[in-house]
Amino acid sequence: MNARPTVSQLLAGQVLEGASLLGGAQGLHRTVTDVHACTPAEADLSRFGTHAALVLQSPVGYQLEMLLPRAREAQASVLAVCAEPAAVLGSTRWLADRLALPLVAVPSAPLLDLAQRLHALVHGDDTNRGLTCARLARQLGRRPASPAETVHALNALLPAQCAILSAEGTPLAGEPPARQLDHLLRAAAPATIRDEAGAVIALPAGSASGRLVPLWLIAETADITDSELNTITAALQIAAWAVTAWSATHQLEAARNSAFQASVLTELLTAGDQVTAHTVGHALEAGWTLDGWHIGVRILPTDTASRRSQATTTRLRQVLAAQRISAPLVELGDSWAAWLSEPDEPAPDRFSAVVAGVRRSLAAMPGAALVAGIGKAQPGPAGLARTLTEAWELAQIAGISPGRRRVEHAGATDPRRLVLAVVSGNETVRRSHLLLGALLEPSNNVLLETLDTYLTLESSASATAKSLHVHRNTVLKRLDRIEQLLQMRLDDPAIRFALRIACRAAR
Amino acid sequence: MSWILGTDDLGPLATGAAVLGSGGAGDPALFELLARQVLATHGPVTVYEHAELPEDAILVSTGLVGSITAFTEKPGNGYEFTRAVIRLRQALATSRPVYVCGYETAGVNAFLPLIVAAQTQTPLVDLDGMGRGLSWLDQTTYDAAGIPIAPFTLTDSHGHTVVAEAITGHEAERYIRTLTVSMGGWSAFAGYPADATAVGSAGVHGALARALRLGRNLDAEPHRRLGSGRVSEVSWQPGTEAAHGSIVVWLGPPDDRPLRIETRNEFLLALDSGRIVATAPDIICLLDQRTMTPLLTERVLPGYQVDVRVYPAPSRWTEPGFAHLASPAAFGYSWAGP
Repeated sequence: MNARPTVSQLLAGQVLEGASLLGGAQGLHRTVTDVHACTPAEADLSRFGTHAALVLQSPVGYQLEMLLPRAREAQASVLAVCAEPAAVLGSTRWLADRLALPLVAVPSAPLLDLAQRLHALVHGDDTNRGLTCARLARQLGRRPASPAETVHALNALLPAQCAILSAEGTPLAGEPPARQLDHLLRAAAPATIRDEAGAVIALPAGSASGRLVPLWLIAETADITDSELNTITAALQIAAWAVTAWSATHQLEAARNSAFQASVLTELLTAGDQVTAHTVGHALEAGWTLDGWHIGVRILPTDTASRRSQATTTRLRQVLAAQRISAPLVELGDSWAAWLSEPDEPAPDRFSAVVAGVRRSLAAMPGAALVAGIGKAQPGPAGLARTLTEAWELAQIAGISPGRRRVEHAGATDPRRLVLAVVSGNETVRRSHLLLGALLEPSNNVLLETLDTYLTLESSASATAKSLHVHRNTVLKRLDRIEQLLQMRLDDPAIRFALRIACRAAR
Repeated sequence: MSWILGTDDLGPLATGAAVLGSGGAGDPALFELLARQVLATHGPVTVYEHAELPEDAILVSTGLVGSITAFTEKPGNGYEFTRAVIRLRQALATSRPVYVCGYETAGVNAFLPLIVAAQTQTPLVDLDGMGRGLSWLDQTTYDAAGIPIAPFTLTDSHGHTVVAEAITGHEAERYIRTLTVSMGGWSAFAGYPADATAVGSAGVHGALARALRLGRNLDAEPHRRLGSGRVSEVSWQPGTEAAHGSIVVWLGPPDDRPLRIETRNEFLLALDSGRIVATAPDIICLLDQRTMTPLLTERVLPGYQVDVRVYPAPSRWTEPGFAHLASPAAFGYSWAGP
């Protein structure tokens, strides 16, 4: 609902310039919601609705006087008569005063012209809002507009600075808002803030999954009227549909691409040295270069909260691009695979730059517990599979707990790789199975995961509980049960070390 | 029962006729003088009630048509009305007894049948076609009942006489107004000749007696008092055929509010706070509080202290078949709602 003018505001406007208020000044505060031209013979004034302005053409005096109580009964806000003020007698003015119904004389005004101009004044906000929304819809409606195009259209049409933010508040398009909006974005519901500093309107958009809002449309302005606020809100609602359409289209496309790319990469990884022309063709179709040298990168989540999602993939792609790592990023299971392809063997400083770039990229995603492994540069299609496999193995030993590195890479982790090779050996695996015994039964998966997490997190029950999202007492009970099943005590550092290797080998 | 109307009755009759005039029908002062002279010469007049008439009696109605202001500026010799009745009797060429009555017992027209009756020694019957002041000649209960106006006669002070036959209703009104302009702005009329029985069942009975009664005592019959106050505004619409105007009377304490009176020759509507409180055919009357005499519409001026009263309409105007000719709508008033 738009703000409507009061009778006072109508009188102060240009349309009623030269008009005389003959009576009913006590009703000047009333709002006017509609305008109707009518005759004194109108039998049912209530059909014009309440708070209407009734416009009459030079009514005969007694008819006007008889109309006043009826108009008041119908809750009209004002009577405007196209007549000379002198033609209205004192009894009529007195009655308008008594009824507190403003009576306005507008000399030499054609009835329909006056009614039409008043109508435009009363409904001007609606008209402006409608026109703005129509223009916006025309600009956004031709095809799914990108966030940048949407923000550009909004900024051109609205008296506000608009932006589209991610759920975390990162700007996807437009200038970041001047205000802190964290609390607003956390609320996950449309919100409007108005204060001395101006107004902020926030509207969720995009195809939401669960209760998470994927995107936010934000409009910020220094000073604003009620009418402008309504127009901005209406325009944002239209833009929200456009953003949702864009987001949905984008997601569908990404999902389709993601499935295809994962399939092609799996083909490559499993082909070893025997990469077929068929696989090469698929790789080309995916836009990948298999010739030249490749540096493989695997990125893993370390907890369930950071598991792969469309939003994380998008963000990861953004932060890698920001570090000038223009690599294909493929979703593979719960993790990601990326690689850089270059015509010649990369120099050591190039490899170091990639490592630093990946490290900075992960640091730019503080909310996501991600680690990475970076394989040595390898040539050709088979080399791509090898560097990615190596990256995967390195990512396994990366970690975010104290004493561990978030990014493990082939250039500086030879001792670690030796250890990794030891714990991955067949003999070690065989012995590990003997050591873990009952814990390897499927029914004891939870206990094995608890033990592995406990040992990985430096034997901290609290850290384990946090990582597994269970209570610390639950962890302690599980450890008791593990000790019973293995008939070993976990407070013995040697036992812990042996079990750590066994768990690693048993993965 | 018949009764005698003498010179002593003329003063009260003028007041009562002005009350029934409801602001219209003209100032009877000059006609009162004329009647006083005629009655002084010919003696008092016997006024009969309709029931006393013989069955074969014929009644003719007389009065002034046109502008009373014109008569005041160019008065006649007083014999024009008698000549109109005589010429009508000649035109009727009947051996049946002819009685005279008025067509409008209000204002100046209350006196003219009296003058004719005195001058011709014709019996005067207390019966008329309006019972109050109304604007148009075809606005009579006779017209409502279908009694033809013709044959009728018009005479002027130069001896011109027009006899009209086979013309009725609104057409007759139109002809009379046109002829009257040529005859100096006013003319003496005699018409509506009809059997006493027909006129009796169509006319308004006893208006002359009512005028006399009210003239002697304004409280002689029940009436509504809308209030007393000072006239604060008088507004006339220029260019209208009848005198269209509006009068605002600011009622004094405890009312302390405006009362609006609408006029078209007569006082026809009264509005209080936007609602109708009195309409024609009831007789709305503004009395000058200084003299307690009824005011004509055109004589109401800002500053006058007035008493606004409403006397009941002649009962004939409330009957089905008659009411439409004297209702507000008959004067062009209309409004939505009750």
